[in-house]
Amino acid sequence: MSSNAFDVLVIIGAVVAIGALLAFLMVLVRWHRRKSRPELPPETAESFRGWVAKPPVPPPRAEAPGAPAATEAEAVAPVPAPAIEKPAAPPPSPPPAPQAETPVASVPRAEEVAPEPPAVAAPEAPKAPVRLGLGLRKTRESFLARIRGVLRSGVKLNEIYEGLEEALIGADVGVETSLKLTEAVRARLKNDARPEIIRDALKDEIAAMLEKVERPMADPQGAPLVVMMVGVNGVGKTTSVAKLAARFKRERGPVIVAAADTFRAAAIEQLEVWCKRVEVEIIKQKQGSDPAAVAFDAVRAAVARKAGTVLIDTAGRLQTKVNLMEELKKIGRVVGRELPGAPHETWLVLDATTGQNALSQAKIFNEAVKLSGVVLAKLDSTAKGGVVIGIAGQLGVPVRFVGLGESIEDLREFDAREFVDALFTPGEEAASGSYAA
Amino acid sequence: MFDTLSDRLEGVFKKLRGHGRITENNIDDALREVRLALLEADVNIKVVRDFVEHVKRKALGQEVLRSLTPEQHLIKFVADELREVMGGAAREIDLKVKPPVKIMVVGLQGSGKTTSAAKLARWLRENRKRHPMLVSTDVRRPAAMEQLRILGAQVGVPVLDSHENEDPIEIASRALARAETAGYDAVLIDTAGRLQIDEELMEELDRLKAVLRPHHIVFVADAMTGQEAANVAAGFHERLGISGVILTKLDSDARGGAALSVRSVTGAPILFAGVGEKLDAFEPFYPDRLASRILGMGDVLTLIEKAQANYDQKQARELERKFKKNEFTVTDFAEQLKTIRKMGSLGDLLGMIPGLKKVAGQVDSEEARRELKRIQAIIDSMTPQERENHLILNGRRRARIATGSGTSVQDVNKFIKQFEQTRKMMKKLTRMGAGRAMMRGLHFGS
Repeated sequence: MSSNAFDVLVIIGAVVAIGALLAFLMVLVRWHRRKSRPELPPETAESFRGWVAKPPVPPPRAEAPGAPAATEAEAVAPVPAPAIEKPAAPPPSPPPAPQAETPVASVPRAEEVAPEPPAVAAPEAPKAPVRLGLGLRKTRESFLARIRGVLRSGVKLNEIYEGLEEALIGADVGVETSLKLTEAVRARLKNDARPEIIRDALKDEIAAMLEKVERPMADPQGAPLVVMMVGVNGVGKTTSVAKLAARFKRERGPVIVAAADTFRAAAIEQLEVWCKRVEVEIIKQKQGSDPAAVAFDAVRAAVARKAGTVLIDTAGRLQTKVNLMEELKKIGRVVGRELPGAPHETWLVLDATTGQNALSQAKIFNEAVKLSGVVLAKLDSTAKGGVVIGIAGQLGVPVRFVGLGESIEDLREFDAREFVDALFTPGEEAASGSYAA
Repeated sequence: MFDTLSDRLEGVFKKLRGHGRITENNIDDALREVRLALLEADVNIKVVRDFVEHVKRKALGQEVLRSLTPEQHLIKFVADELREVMGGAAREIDLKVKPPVKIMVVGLQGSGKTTSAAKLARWLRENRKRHPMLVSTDVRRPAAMEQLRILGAQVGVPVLDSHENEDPIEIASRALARAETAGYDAVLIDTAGRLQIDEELMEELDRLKAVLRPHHIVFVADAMTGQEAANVAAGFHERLGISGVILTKLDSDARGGAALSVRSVTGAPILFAGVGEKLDAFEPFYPDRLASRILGMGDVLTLIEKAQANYDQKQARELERKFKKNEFTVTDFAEQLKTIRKMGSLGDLLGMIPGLKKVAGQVDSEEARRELKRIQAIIDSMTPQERENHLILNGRRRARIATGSGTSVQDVNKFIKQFEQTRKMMKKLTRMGAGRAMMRGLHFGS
């Protein structure tokens, strides 16, 4: 659409520039590699990660010697229908043993593959195991475990697990985490096919994952507790700050709120209204002023007035905006200079309706300003906020509070059990199925 | 950091390329990858199922199995299907109605309604020569009206005075009367954020709709939304009949599967994309672009736009000349670094270029970032003269730079050596025609 001379030049300019930087960085990386001790090369780590996300079906099959027979067994089981879910695909076994020749397999599959039996080319098979390296063994085992389970209890077990997996994915738990969870349960329960038992075990697994990372809030040792609230735009930071202010005022005495969102239009006014309602003090400057300075003033005031808590409301920023993340670091640094140890807590506010991007948010914010908690806002929506499970699992960041509405009282301490129960609320099935009709 | 949807599909298709042909079986294999990739991109699980089913049916129905390059066909099918779901070509908001054109903006809390309303008003004024008026009916969120007032002032669009203890319905009818008398030919009505299951507030929207009789009800969707995007959109659509969608926060690294969900559930076209916090960071949505991006063709077009915003023709030409003549100096390098940083993170930018995704991950590593910081410090500690001609850097100068930048002389040496290497490499690349790969990407894109 845009390929006139001007555009072409601009593109070349940009490419050359980026190319220059890229080339430069590549030289750097090479340099570093040469120097540094042999670590796991990033490619391996990458492919491993990618691997985990895939359901452990085809490659191990190709590798595991016992697998082909097992596959056939699966095919014999009376399920020709859900081909996509459990692909009856003849795995490209390295020794090209054409499916048609295996007597067991040929029965259900004949119609499907008959026209071109040798079409399944082999090249994919030897490649995958090499790339996957470390991850392979574990996955193969769980795969075999699955096969065994199927053998004993027929398809029903698979259906149960698939249903649970889908429920988890539908709750934004994410493919990777969902599979990890169901597999853990499966490894534990073996071929127990009682749905309630399986579901409860899954609940336990998730709750355990969330509870494992729970820890008490930092103790500021007599100084005001400084909590910095961060997050992307529109997740509910300001509202959460207001709710927390009310709560901390009750629990820890006077609260000072720092209006460090000096960017968004009317953010300060919004916070002011809240602070008036909650009757806590607000420290503010003009829109456009330095947020670090506002935070600094608030902490200083809190120390002087012996306040119990300082809540810093920062501007929403996408985690990909490098300079804005730097600004956040600066706020942390400046506050720490005034009160060593501060901010004692840094909480990421997440919108419960956010999908897998929340993981990216948590990771990048965590890199910039070590997160010590998550506030899961808007959990009163129809979304389940399942992505926090992955965040707990991967980053070890606990959920502290959940937001359940627009008024001040709608903030509750996070309860893993309650959360997990909500994750599996039966009503959810109906709700999430509604649109399809 | 994560496998993107494009990576996943790229992987699938690479695998397919290794095979001689597509059979019904490896179609299933490939489609399972498509399914997983879409799920990871937050496309609603049911939408995914339909989509994959569709692709399969279509692919099998046609003569894929017998074609010479079956993988090409499958790629095409997936691409076509994606484009279809995304709505084909770009769709423009229909303004050919009896003025004033009335646009109501609805959505969940925090999706970006107020900002989008202001951006749309600006767009109407700048690009369609309209005289729009903004009005907020959000009496719930503190300072929401104040926010719109400020944004309106920033984009130079009048905002109707409204107050938090007014009834939204009253505000709306007042807005219509005002537009009539003052001769505004577009009225944008911002509403309070609400959940689609909040009966009371949804009813308020019903009433607003009845009073306003809007030409457009625009649903604002956050590109980062997860599985619920489908249900939320469906909720609003069933109730109000959504006529268009604005997809916000597309400048994030979200994979944007929500767009697919919303689109396939409501059937309403995605009209605009919000791509930044600035009020001009608002552009028509190109479904085929997102589809291309999903299919791993790189988001070349977006890169072009970013480049256009940050470079001008002269600059680009000058840069190319310098590379060719080997006159690229440290000053130029520092300039580049600054410009590119403005455009976004290095990894993001690289990720938009086809074939460079793998590299993108590496460049975004913590290590690389630290290194970049060190380089910046070294450059900052050089005198202008040194930056123009790095050959004058003798031992003493290097020692000074090292002290000034808090690095070691080795670091400075390393930097200079690498800078020279880069220059050489770039010279070669420019000779070969560095833009060629890019051009190919372009053809793919369009």
